[in-house]
Amino acid sequence: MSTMTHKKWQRALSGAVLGLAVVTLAGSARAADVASDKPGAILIFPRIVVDTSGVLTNGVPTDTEIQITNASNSVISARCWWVNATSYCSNNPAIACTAEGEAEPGNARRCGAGSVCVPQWTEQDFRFTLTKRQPISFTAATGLPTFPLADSNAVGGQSNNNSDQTPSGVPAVNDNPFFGELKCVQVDPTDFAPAPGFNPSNNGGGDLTGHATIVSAPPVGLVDARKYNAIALESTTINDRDETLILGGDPGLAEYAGCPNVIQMAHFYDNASLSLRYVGGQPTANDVVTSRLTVVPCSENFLLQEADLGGATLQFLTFNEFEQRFSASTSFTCQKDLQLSNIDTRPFSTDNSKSVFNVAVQGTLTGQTRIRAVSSGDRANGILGVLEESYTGPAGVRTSAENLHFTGSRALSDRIVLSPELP
Amino acid sequence: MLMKKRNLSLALGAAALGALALVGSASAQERNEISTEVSGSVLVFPKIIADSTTDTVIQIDNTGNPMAHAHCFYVNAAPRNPAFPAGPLNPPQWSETDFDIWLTRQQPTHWVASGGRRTQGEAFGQDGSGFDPGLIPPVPQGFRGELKCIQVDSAGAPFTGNKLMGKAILLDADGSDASSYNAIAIPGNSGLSGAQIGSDLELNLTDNSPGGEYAACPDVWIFNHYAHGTPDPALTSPDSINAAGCGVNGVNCPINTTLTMVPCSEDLENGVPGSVGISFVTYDEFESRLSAATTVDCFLDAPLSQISSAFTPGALGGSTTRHTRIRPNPGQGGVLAIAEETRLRGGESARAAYNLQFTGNRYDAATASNGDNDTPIPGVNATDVIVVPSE
Repeated sequence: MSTMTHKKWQRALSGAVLGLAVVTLAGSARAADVASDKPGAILIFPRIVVDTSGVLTNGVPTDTEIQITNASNSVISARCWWVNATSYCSNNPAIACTAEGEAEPGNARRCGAGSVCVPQWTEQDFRFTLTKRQPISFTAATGLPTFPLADSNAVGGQSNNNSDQTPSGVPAVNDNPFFGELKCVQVDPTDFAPAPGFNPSNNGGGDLTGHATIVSAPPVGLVDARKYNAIALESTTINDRDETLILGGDPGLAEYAGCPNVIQMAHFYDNASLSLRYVGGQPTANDVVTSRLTVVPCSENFLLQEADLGGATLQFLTFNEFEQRFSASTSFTCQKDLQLSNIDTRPFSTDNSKSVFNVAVQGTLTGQTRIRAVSSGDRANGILGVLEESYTGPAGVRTSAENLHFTGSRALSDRIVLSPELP
Repeated sequence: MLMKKRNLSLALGAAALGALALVGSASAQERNEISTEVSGSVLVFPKIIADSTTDTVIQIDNTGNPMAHAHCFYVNAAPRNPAFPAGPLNPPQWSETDFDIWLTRQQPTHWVASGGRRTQGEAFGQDGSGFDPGLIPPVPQGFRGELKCIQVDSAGAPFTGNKLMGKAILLDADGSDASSYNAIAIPGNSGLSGAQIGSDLELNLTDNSPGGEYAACPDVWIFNHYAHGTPDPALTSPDSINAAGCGVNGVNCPINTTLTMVPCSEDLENGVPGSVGISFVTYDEFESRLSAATTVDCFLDAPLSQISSAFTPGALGGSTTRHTRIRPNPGQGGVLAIAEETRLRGGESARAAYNLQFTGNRYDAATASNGDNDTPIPGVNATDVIVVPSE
């Protein structure tokens, strides 16, 4: 028996055994994944930034480009929510602020003495229909008020009009500056009730894919761009079409993939000085790296809004290149967006060197951090997030964004409660 | 007696339910497909560059508590004479350099491609501080190619521990531009030993083939991008940043996209580069479509406009947004891919790399070749194989 033949024989045997296990599960819901590299039925963009005047982005005008695609060969519809987590001054709700900006020594305070920066959480919903395989793109500051196939008399009869003949549209975000999240749920094109996907090649897991690109450009100087994939939650194909979406948990009830048990983050510790471009064995340049973490809760209640917009206590375990382990924790509601060193220190740069996420404490340039949200009562309190790394070099600051790794699933479920559908 | 029997049957029933729950739980944990966010046993970094304009930082982490070993291969696909473009008279080098890394529990490590990592023990806070994972050689100047790391046991045999995760950051030579992507992780079948796998790693693990060795490569890559040369909407829209210097209709602020693909099959023992014929079907926002084709020989890293004019705005009447489906030709093996956008304003540029989405797998064969039909159809199975040098 040749090696290859032997391997095939082994494979056939183990395949038969495992195949029995698969058959045992046949008839139940499909195993659904959370993934940024596959289409899904819920699409989450954890970090959307709009500040076209640059008042909260160090004077650099910033906007976010969004791409959403129907990966299937069927007409699909989606209901989406801009979740606005922009903070405002307690003594003047017209002035936007950031906790880090207000606390930074030397910064001109936007809120003035005696005032604090208070987060707000509001949502704005919209819906649209995509024809087969159709991609759309828009900026968050502009939206997409008129869809490409708004004219229902287009060649072939394709139309972005919804089944009730209302036009599809994406409004611009309702704040500028805007810091927040975008969440989209695939729905039945006929009645806009939540629905699994249409594509049999991924077993009905969902048909939405997406990307976000945060673009910054000062009037003069370097343009900067960082891009991440939207995180997709696949449908289990169980779906009762009601307005409460069950993410993970009991396999007999879960309608969508559950959020991960642990987020794994490979990153540089803040203020790491990275040697680059070795010539003759010697580095010729250095970049200083800082990182920014954004997380959003998997559970959100768009019906009750501020009364229940999710959140959790986050437990961090970070390992440096010496295998030394440190922990930290923080809590959040709706959205957490902060520099790593501010997770366990005050929200300004002066004491960043005391943080366990800083190279001055760790002594190695890179770390692996595991983030676990603490469950509560009957809720998994899962989270999703992205990381943004800034490299400061001789020519200025450039950033990159990346999707985070994760592992495991939770026994409890998360729930997204949708706001009422438009009349 | 009757009660005992009832108790016994209840216990057996409960045990069966428990077993079923365990199977369900395991199926949720085990992933039989590639991933860019779940750790695996083979890591593929499709785009590593170390030349006069760009350098690459590589980070690999052990996500498990046991020690993890990996055997890594740089595959240099730079043309033999880097001063001239690649072509029939200036083919890629297709040379490999290998090295080993050892990572303690949960240990992260990193290095810069042009410098590698020495084992000299750097001072606290300096680049290179930490447990050295082993001696990592620098790549030669002008390197363009991929890095592949295969988890092995302490004896060097393939080990399907599924505990490797990684990312790469491409940095411009002027110390400013940064662009990152996650390594593509291929999980292995944790039920197989190194002896069962041998030195030929078959990518044939799927939900329908649970006895396979490593996850099969995707059948279709879902590639969302802007038409090559489209004016950047953020820089040119009056409601957005509306940057100066973009010119009339934003002609000076285009978005250009580079696609990088490597074959899933590689014979690192005999130095035989993989070659895969690729079909593209590209759809715009008006649901118009065009097709294109190319071949991936060892390594493809090309602007979309160079692959085909179908990816330019003019090819579909000036439309800007594209959904392109990339599929190897029937019967052929798979490819792994990433993309990188470059936003220009005058002489300035900003790059952003990203991972693509995918569906299906090459081993089960899957979707109709014309890209219009989602219905899975029986097709020719394609088993990709990575052949590693015997030691």
